[in-house]
Amino acid sequence: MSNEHDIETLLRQMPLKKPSPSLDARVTDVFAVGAAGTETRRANSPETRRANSPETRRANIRGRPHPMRAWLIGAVGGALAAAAAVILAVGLPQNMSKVTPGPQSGPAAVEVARGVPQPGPAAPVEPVRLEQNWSEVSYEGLVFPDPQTPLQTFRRRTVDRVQFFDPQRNIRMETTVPREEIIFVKASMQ
Amino acid sequence: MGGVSKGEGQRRSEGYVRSVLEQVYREHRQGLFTLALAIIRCPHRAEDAVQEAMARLWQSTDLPRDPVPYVFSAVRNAAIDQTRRAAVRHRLESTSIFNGLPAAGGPADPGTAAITAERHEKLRLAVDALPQAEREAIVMRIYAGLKFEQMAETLGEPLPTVASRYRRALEMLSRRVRPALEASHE
Repeated sequence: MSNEHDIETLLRQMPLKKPSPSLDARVTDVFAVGAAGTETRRANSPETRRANSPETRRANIRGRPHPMRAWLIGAVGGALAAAAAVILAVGLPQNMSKVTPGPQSGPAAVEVARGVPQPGPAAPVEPVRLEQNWSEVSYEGLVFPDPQTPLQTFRRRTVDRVQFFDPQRNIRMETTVPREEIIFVKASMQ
Repeated sequence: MGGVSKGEGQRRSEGYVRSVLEQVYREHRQGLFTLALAIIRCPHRAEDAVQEAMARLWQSTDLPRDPVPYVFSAVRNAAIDQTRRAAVRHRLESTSIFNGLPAAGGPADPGTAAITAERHEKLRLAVDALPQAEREAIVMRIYAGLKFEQMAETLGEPLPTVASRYRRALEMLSRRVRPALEASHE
């Protein structure tokens, strides 16, 4: 029995590292987005060209999950829940431009706007653009840059989320931009 | 290399490209991942490379008659690109293509299991220590099940070169694990 044959036999018995199940989903995404791109190639409007650009394709293809800050996950989850509630309550009327937002401060203020981008010549089903803005303001106490002028400190967290759906071409794009700012308000001394 | 070109029936050809790629992926998923892992040494980046290669291939305009080496070649190139871009090679060099756990259905006898585990460990270390080209040859032949012709096409090298590289890799492994093999035969 040759050593090489033994080695080959032994190599075949070795347990291999398996790819994670998410790889299948990611590759399926590649094909799904690619199929959408096939449809868009037929129309030649700027909108469809943009939708079929490599950047858009890359944005549509699922990537490896990245860790997110806990508050951002909560914020986006809250925004989604609130947006879903608003959408259900209003029923997404065709010409809705804006749904009244809640107060700027408070647990969750959501704006939903539905605009219709210019449709391409070969797009009988209109694409949908959905914008969600979530913000939260929290009071963080007084600071004294100098003894005479105390300042109230507020922290404002905002998440802007834009979704774009094109049911005909099966395109879905989504951007989420979190922001955080600190606001100082002069406090009156009485 | 004879190709299936996208011509008049573009939609049909694109559907054909997609179905062929899906089929190759389904049949060689483990081999593609293992080849990428053998190059990058990082499982996450290996998956990135497979995904990136499939995305690149989807946009290709034709496929050769045997698409398997074509797909393996794309994954290999994506893996090499990833290694160059991320410069993770040194940081993650210890990641093996093998699982640390023993294979299912192994020997029930503890003595035999211990010998098998020792042989596996020696072989794992020996494969990990191979030069990249030899390791790739082992992965393509043993774990991806490619023929020498397909390996040569994947690597873009002459068939005798690839075949002799594979033999050399086996010899190197044989030298390193021979004591363990002899012990198990006694």
